[in-house]
Amino acid sequence: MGPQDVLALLFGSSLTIIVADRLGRRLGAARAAGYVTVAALATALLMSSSLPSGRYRPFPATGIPVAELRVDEASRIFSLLFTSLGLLVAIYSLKYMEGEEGLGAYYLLLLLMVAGMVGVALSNDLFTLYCFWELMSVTAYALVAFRWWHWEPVEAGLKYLVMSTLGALVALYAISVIYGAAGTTNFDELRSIFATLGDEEAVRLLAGLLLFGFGVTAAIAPFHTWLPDAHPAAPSSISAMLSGVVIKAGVYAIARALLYILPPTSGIGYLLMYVGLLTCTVGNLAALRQLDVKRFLAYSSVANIGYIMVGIGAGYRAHLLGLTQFALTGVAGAMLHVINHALGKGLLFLCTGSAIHVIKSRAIPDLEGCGRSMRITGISSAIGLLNLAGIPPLAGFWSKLLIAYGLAGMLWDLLVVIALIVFIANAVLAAGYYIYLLMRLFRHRATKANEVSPLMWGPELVLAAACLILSLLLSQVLAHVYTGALALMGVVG
Amino acid sequence: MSLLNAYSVAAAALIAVGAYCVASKRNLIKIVMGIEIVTTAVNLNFIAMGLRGGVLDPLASMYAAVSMAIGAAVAALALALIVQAYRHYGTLDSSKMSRLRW
Repeated sequence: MGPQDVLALLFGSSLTIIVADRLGRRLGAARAAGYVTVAALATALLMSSSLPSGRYRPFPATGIPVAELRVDEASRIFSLLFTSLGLLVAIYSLKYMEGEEGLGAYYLLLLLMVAGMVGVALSNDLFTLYCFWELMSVTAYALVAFRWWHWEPVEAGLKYLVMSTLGALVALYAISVIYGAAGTTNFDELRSIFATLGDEEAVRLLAGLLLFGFGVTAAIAPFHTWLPDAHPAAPSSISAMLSGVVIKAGVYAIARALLYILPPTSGIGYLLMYVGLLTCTVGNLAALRQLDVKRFLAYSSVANIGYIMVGIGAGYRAHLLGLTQFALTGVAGAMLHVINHALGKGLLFLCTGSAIHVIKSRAIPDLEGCGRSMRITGISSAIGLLNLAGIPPLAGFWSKLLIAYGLAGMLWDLLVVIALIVFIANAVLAAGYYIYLLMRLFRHRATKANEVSPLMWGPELVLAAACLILSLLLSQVLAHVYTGALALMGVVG
Repeated sequence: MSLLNAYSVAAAALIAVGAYCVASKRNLIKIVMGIEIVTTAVNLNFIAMGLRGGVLDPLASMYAAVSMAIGAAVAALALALIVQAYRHYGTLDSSKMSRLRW
């Protein structure tokens, strides 16, 4: 069993959904399409948890050199993250999306989006990665604009589409130049070809094009402006997917392209670090003035992408200087933060989805006190907020600490010292406003909001438990994350 | 092997035209046309990069063909969204659709 089977399963069941939706509506089983999605994602999760490492050619007989797939620790971690959050969101949607129009299309798009993300994580070829990337993006645009009878999703979807497509085209242009220079788009072949080139202007230019091309979808500043519009406009279940994992697929593509394919060059490490710092400063400052809870969470996603980029930048810079231990720590911290933020932000968007479902308002003042009346949702969101705030025993603290440690290896460099100070200031500021939001949610009076159905609080509880388990089993998780960082930097695997 | 030939220069010029179109035009249809020009330019660049001594690498034409299909999907979705936007706002002017900010 290989990665091609996981992808074949996802694509195959997307065809089944169409049939299940038609049949289900005729027979009065409106949830049929949802059940098929849940089953497909559960199977894909089981299959991707036991993928053996290696390179796979799905069509060996045709002799086409592209479409090669790979499995290593990094792609396994990312694909597990994508399928597991997809599964929880699909379960949540069974109740949350009940009674909406076009549910068949909704589940079809959701499953194809997960298939695209898993494909991005598993591909071993730049053009294959681009194809899966566009599958993921196109389904994401359509899901943002899913409630097209309102003005907000349409406008946000259009903005997202124009910006993200242009970014993808910039990345594709870089891919075409790489293909022209090397005659191949295979990751491993490119890595050995580019290793002989070394630190050159052309390599730096390609790295910059790939960073900003993929970076638009990953929402790095100054190309983050679509995110605070698009994520709140989508249904809350989709916001959880977009903020939780779609932007992480962008991070994965950047990390894979810059750390694995292209050789380390001077300057790009600083670029990554400072773009990351700009991203988290912009995200944190803009989050402070939001009254809409979903926009608040969307801006905090921008900020968290910033932390991750700082970690990757620290790893890149340390790798160039030959400080392998610090490089590894920086990239491992970034990967741990990817996991933390995917679980935490997915959880928070599901919780706010439940609260909005009951209270019918997105304004933070209206949501005050609902942490007390909606017990399970309240406690889950408290765990998610504390995890993202980085309160010490929780994993959110350790990921930020690892990123700071990665930076601390190069303290003789003034630019890195400034980066470290700005990074810590941002982390403290973010901790402050998460705690503030937590206090407002639990403040004084309990409203008369009722708890939502178990199909909705179930996934929230699972994600909250996952945040706690991640913190309890930190040493095991760290072992996996370090192996993942090694694979991402091409030291092994 | 030189990467610089007439086709790759034309592709770079087309990208500039497309990017200018997206950045300066307000009409949504024209913005989508700009995106399509950039898509075409990148496809042309694949062909330019696949030319090796006057012979085209079949891989390059495959890349261009797949990329065209993807571009068509994006354009179709964009036009569908534009139809909805027109129904909501009664105009195709993107500057009149800026209710979302900060």
